[in-house]
Amino acid sequence: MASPCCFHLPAGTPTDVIHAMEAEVRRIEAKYSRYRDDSVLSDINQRAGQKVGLDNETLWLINYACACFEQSDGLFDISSGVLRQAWDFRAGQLPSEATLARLLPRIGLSRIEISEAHLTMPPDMELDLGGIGKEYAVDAAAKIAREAGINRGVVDLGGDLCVLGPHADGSPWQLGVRNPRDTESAIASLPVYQGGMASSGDYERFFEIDGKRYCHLLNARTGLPVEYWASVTVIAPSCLLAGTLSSIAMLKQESGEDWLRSQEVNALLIRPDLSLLSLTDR
Amino acid sequence: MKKTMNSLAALAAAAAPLAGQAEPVPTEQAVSYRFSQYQEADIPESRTFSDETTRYSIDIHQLGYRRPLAGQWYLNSELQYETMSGASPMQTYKNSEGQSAVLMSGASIDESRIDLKLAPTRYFEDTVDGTLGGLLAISTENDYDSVAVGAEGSLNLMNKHTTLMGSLTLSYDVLAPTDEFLSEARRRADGRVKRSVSLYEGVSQVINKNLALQVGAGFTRLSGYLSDPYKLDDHRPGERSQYLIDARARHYFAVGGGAALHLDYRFYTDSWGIYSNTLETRWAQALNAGRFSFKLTPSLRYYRQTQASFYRLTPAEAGEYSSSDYRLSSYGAFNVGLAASAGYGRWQISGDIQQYMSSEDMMLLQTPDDEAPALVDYSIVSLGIEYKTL
Repeated sequence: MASPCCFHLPAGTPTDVIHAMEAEVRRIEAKYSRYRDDSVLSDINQRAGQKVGLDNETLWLINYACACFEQSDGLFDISSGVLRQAWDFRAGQLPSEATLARLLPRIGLSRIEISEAHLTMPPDMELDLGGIGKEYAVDAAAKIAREAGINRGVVDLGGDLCVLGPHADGSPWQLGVRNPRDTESAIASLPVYQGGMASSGDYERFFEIDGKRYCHLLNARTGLPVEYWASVTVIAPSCLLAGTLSSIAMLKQESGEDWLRSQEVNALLIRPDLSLLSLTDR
Repeated sequence: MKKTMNSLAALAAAAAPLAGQAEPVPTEQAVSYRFSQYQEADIPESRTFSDETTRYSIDIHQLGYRRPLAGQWYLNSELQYETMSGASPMQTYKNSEGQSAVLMSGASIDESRIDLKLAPTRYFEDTVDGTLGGLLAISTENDYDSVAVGAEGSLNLMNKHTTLMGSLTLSYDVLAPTDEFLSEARRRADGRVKRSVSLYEGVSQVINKNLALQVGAGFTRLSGYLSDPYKLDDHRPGERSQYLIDARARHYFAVGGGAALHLDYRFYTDSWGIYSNTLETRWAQALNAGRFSFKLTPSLRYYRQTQASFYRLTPAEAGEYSSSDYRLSSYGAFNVGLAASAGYGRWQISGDIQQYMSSEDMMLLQTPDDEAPALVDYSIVSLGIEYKTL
């Protein structure tokens, strides 16, 4: 994975537990990487248009992605990765309307069919589990630690976190929230006793033209970047849920605030002017 | 899925099958050792013919090992070594005062038994979701050899909400009673064989996230030499058909680190005329404290049975079936138990204490006329330790 990853575990944690956690993260990354031709995800994409049998884990992840699609009114869509062909964040150029118009019809998770552990998607569709895979890997590594009897510590894969349990003295972990305009420093810290925390922001990949920021979070229906929030951080029972809620809130732009309130979760929303909006579940 | 007001709930529900997902092949490897002591209480002195009152005592050593094999296979294995000593009832009879009295064997029993079990399981995840397992068990002691083979399977349906399970076990035992010069029965039993075929089918159903139910039915057919060569005047039919129906409920509670109430019921009847009912309840409580995890499980079981049609304390006519074995009499029994375990990292230690009390009076609703002084009370104390690697 491209981002720094670490496990904060109690002293004396057996090394084979740590190795098993690391192996699990690598397994999931290899299985769902779109950069590897031999990954399960690449296989699914290469066989677009055919009926493809899915293993339990993949079936479960894609079903979860479908729930995300439905709950976000189509904004969170694992088939929207084709928009990368239009948005080249290294070159920093705006795509033409014609390019977007050509790609948009290829997006739409409602066009896939899942029955009896088999997936059939249109021949022009491509799936990308980048939006949920890493969060899922965090939870999977945390699960291994818990099953080995480790109830304290934090699993951190590049800022997507799962807290196994509070410090020995019962106090919560103070987890830093990245400053969206200075990603090496924290803008705030949030107390977490247990569960997942994840952030979604406009700082991961972006370019600016005339002072306007174009980030990698794209509306799956218009193909255009979101711009209302600089970042959204959510605390939820699992890292996967936290990551999904923060992404959907980003994609929902202004209405993300009310939507998150109705989910009754703790969240920290940061506006582009770096003013903070804290939502608590009370 | 219908869109709901609370997306978190909907997403959490979509994420939920992960917990129940699988069963993937377990990845852990574990070695365990357990020592148990089974001790029968003394028989009432007033009711024994000799002054022998000390009953059976068994020391049991169990060494367990389980590990993943190649592919989708997983192996469970266990080696057990038991040493037995003490006396056991040879006969219960009506004495000259009309009381039931017991003739004990004398503290002559002193023997050991070795038992090896291998149970490989194949896990299926792709086209079907379930398991298929085999069993091989071999047991040997100086007067009894036994070999059993079995197969069992489970099939998960409806997203694991329904599980069908079935098993078939065949066993073949050979008797070789010791001290053959003591009785005609012992000589007659030498080299005789006992066979069994056992079948169980069940279905379990998840009712909601806190409640699961299971019902099942079983049938066992025994044939061959089914009498007890060490008991006097013990002549049992050469065939026995056993039927059982059971039902189990599990209810989960978010108390402490999680708790489950177990309630099990079992009805049994056989072709020897025995009917029995078993009711058992357990409360399994988990507690977490830092890196320690604890589990405490108190249990209570009640059992009652009616006597076999040929159970009798008076001599039988020649050619008639008869037995005075207390296990074939009418009686009731209570068992109370407490199991505890503590886990730390890859280590787990566990302890278990069980106290069993049986008596003809514990039948409660209908007490039999004949006393059964040989009915046993016993206790089992065990201590175990397990080391797991991932």
